[in-house]
Amino acid sequence: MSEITVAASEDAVKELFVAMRDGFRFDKRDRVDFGPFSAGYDVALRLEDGEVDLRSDNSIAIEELDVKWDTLKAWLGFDIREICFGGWCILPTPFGCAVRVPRVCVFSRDPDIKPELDLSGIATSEVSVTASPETRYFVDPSRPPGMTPIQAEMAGMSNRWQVFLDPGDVDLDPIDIADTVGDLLERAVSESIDALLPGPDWFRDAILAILGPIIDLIRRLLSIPDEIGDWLSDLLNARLGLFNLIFGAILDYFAEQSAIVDFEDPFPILPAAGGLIPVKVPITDFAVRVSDVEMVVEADVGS
Amino acid sequence: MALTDNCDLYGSIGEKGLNLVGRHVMRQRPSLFNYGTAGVAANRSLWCRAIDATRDVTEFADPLMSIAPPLPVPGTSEYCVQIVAVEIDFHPGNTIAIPPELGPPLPAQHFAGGARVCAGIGCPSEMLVDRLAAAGRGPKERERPGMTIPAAELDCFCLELFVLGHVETDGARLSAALDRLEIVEITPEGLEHGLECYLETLIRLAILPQLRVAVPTLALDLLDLATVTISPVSPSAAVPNNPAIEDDELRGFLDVAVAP
Repeated sequence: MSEITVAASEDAVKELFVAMRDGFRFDKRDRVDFGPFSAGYDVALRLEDGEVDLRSDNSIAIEELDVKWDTLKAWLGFDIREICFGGWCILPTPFGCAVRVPRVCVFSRDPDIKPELDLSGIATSEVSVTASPETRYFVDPSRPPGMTPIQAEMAGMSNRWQVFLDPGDVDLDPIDIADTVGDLLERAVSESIDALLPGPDWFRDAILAILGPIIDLIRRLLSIPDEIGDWLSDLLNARLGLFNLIFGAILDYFAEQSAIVDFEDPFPILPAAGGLIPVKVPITDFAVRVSDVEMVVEADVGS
Repeated sequence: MALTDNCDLYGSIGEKGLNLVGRHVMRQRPSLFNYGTAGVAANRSLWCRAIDATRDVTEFADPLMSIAPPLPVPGTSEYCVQIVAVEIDFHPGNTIAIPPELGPPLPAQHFAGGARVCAGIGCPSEMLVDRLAAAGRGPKERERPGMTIPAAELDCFCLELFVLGHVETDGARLSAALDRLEIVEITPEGLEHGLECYLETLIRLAILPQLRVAVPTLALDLLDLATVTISPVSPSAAVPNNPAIEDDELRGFLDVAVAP
């Protein structure tokens, strides 16, 4: 029997889980270039709902944890070779050209066409994780041998007992985007092209007539409107690596980054006071186990 | 039966673990357990018992003995008081043999405490006393509080103290309560009763009030994400004693509230 025992009921663990879940925040923006084609995203997410279940096999299941996208914006960029119109001389003179048609260049920027999609309302994700508590004893590798506990504390090299959740089964649904995004994307492409072209309507119509094949090519590249939802999901999840990024962030948060228990060993029981060193007690045989009704932490006091 | 059948949070500590904690405190904060006049504190050869301290205490130059003022008695010599061992025994009693005066066996929901206290008073040499008397220094010393007559050695003796107590809560605070105290084998009886009365009063009025814990306000920050407030479970048929002293352990049953 251990000398020190602390047990938390399943209800208490659920309350602590809610506090941890509500504290999760993730945001990132990035871009990837694929030659003349580029894509990027700007995401911010939090977690909602989800159920915690303690299991008799020494594991904790977190089920149906919803990923809520406060921001999920994706953009596609197309860099097209610059095309210039005009500049021709319409009134030549012996001394040179008196009047020229104005010269207009398009596709001078990079990317030239950059339709932006706000997918915040039409994308969903869900994660389920089963994890087991794993106890680790951290020893600072740079701590010199023979250093006393107080010397280690002053040098910020104290040993630590830590408990992490070691993920077992992890199920994160890829970002699922409804096919209704097709219309959204087509409109965004058209608006992006319209904004690109200068001059009055008759002039833009003239240029569009010339550029028609290029715009059709872009639409064909995007497979609009067929299966645009799947295409965007694949782009975000696989090609931009957003799936792995979010997957890793959630796992890090619950399993790696946030030790559910983390304390110094020896454990301080009386603080330094009046010029005296703190009083610390060594903790041994620290362990965490889970049953279907509670999580139990046990430890002994070292001699 | 689960530990948390009737609470959110359960905690216990066994007597063996608590006694080990006590020994760590004694070795790391020896000045809490050893008191002597300045002359004794500065001269280890006068101590009644050698003090066992950790390497850190020495390296950080923590004092081994607290300086105690001279006794307010004319002609006072050097003295020291050292608590050399402290032990606790939770019901059922099996590590401390409590004396008959405390009515063994240890009652349910009670703890016994035992301590060995060594003390010594310096006896000045006859030669020094004669010289002081010849010089007429006696009355002057009485006019100078804080002076002690140096001693070459202390006459030491050790006492065994036993206490019987329990843990109680008034809903707001958790505290230890002293039921009885016994000093073994002191004669005459009047001296024993006087000392016991003094120590009981000291423990009840000076020491135990400082050990009270205001339980409902015990709040912890969880990873800077939330505040966890812990409050004791009210006694009921399922939890008749909270805290409970049983099976050589001190046990507590708590409810938890998590707020952002």
